[in-house]
Parts: sequence; structure tokens; C-alpha cells
Amino acid sequence: MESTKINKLLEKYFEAETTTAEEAQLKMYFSQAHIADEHLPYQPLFAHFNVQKTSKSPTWKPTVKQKPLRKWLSIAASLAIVVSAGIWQQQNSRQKEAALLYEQTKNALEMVSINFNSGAQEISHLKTFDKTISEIFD
Amino acid sequence: MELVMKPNEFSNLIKPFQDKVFRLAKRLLVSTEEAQDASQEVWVKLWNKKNDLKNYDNLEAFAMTITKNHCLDRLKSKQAGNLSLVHVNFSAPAASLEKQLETKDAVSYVERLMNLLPTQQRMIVQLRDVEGYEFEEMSEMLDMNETAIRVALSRARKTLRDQLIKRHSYGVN
Repeated sequence: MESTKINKLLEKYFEAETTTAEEAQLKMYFSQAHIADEHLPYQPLFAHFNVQKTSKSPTWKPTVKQKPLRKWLSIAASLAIVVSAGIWQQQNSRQKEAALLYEQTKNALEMVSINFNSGAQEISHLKTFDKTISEIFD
Repeated sequence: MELVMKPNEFSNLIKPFQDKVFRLAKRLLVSTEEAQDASQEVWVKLWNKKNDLKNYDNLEAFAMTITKNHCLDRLKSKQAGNLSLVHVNFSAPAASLEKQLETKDAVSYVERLMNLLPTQQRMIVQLRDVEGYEFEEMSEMLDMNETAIRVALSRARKTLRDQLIKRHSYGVN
């Protein structure tokens, strides 16, 4: 593009009288490798605009979308805790129950054994009794 | 709770101007982090109106207006809190810089010059020279008449021009 045309455009540009199409022409001109010396001071300005245009927003993460997911996750997590705690407790109580049963059985058996022993003692008394009787009567 | 608009539908709707909102916020607040927070706020505000969004004939202009208002509020509250308005690191250009570095440096120099412009001018340059909006659209976004926009734009461009010419003559000498 001829220098005089650019000069005219620049003049209009600084008066804010250029159209967006004319401004696009200026941006194009200043993004070329060869720029007239007289236009060099403005080159960084248009380069800046072009660079700015490429800067991207970080992708929008819908917070609202995350919420129900997080809610479900937390429900699942608490459910898992409750279930595992339940299982653990059940196992624990089963173990306790078994221990209790064992203890009870042991106690019962002990009682039986004590009673049996005392019963045996009674029998031995009877035996002595028998013996004495037979001694007397025989 | 009944959702008329789904999140992915919403994100498709905002896609065409998502970057523009972020860039305007960045231009006004300067810090990338703050610009991210600000655009997030804009999406939340839009999302809260999600069931009316289809009634807007120019949703983009509406989003830009929300962005502008939100950022100006942020700047105002920062000012009230006596915090620095912009993080400008302005220094005179070093004449001894190598020519290769110069162009890259010059672009960031423009950025610094831009940050020195009054907020309104900065916003107008952003909308026109970066985003390429028509004066009519800008008038809607900024709630300003077109003549006032042109005056402010011309003033901003001339300030930038004068600084760049000054800098260029340093570099040449």
C-alpha cells in the first residue's frame, strides 16, 4: 500500500474518523514485514492491538454444574463410610457375640462341671453310706 | 428447582464473547488474576438470569456492560481502600537496547502507556482498537453518545501517538 494512502488513513485514525474497515487496513499494513520508515513509530501500537486480540479467557467452568456432582460425590462418600462402618460394626459385634457365646458356654460348661463334681461328691457320700450300711448289716 | 437452560447450553451462548469479556476486564483491572475473578463474576451474574437470556437481542453488549460496571466498581472500591489503582511500572526507555529486543519491548511499552490512560479512554480503545466494535455498539455498552466516544477515542489515540513518537526519536538517536 502506498505511503500517502497510509498517511491519510493515519490522520483520520487519530481523529477517530476511520471506519472499522479502514482500521482493519491499518492493522494489516502494520503487520507486514516492510513498513515505511515514517510509519515505524506506530508499528508497536498496532502490533499491541493484534497481540491483545489473541489473548484468551480461561475456560469457563460452570460452578453450578459442579455442585450437583460434588453433592452426589459427597453423598456417595458418606454412604460408603456409613456402609463400611456398618459392616465393620457388624463384624465386630459378631466377633463380640461369638466371644460372649464362648464365654457363656464356657461358664455353662464350668457350672455343669462344678455341679457334676459336686454330684460326684454326693455319690461318693452315698458310696460311703452304702459301705457303712453294708458293714453294719452284713 | 427447574433448569430451563443447561450449563453446556449456557457456555455455548457465552462462547462468542467470552474472550472479549476477559480482555476488557484485564484492560481495566490490569492483573490477570483479578480479570479472571471479574469475568467469573460476570458469568455468575449472567447465569443467574439464565432463563431470560434468550430475550436479550444483544446479549454480547449486555455482557460487556456488566463487565464494565463490575470492573469500575472494583476499581472504585480499590481506590476507597487506598490501594494502588493500576500496577504501572513506568520507566523511560533505555536507548542502549538492542534492536531485536526493541519491537517486543515496544509492544509491552504500549501496554504500559495504555495503563496510564484514564479508565474511560482505556475502555474505549480496548473496545474499538482491539475488539473492533462499531460506535453504535459501544454507545450501547458504555451508555455514552457516539460523539463523546469519538472525542475520547481521538484523545487517547493522540496521547499514545505522541508518546510513541517521543520514544521512537530516543531510539533512533
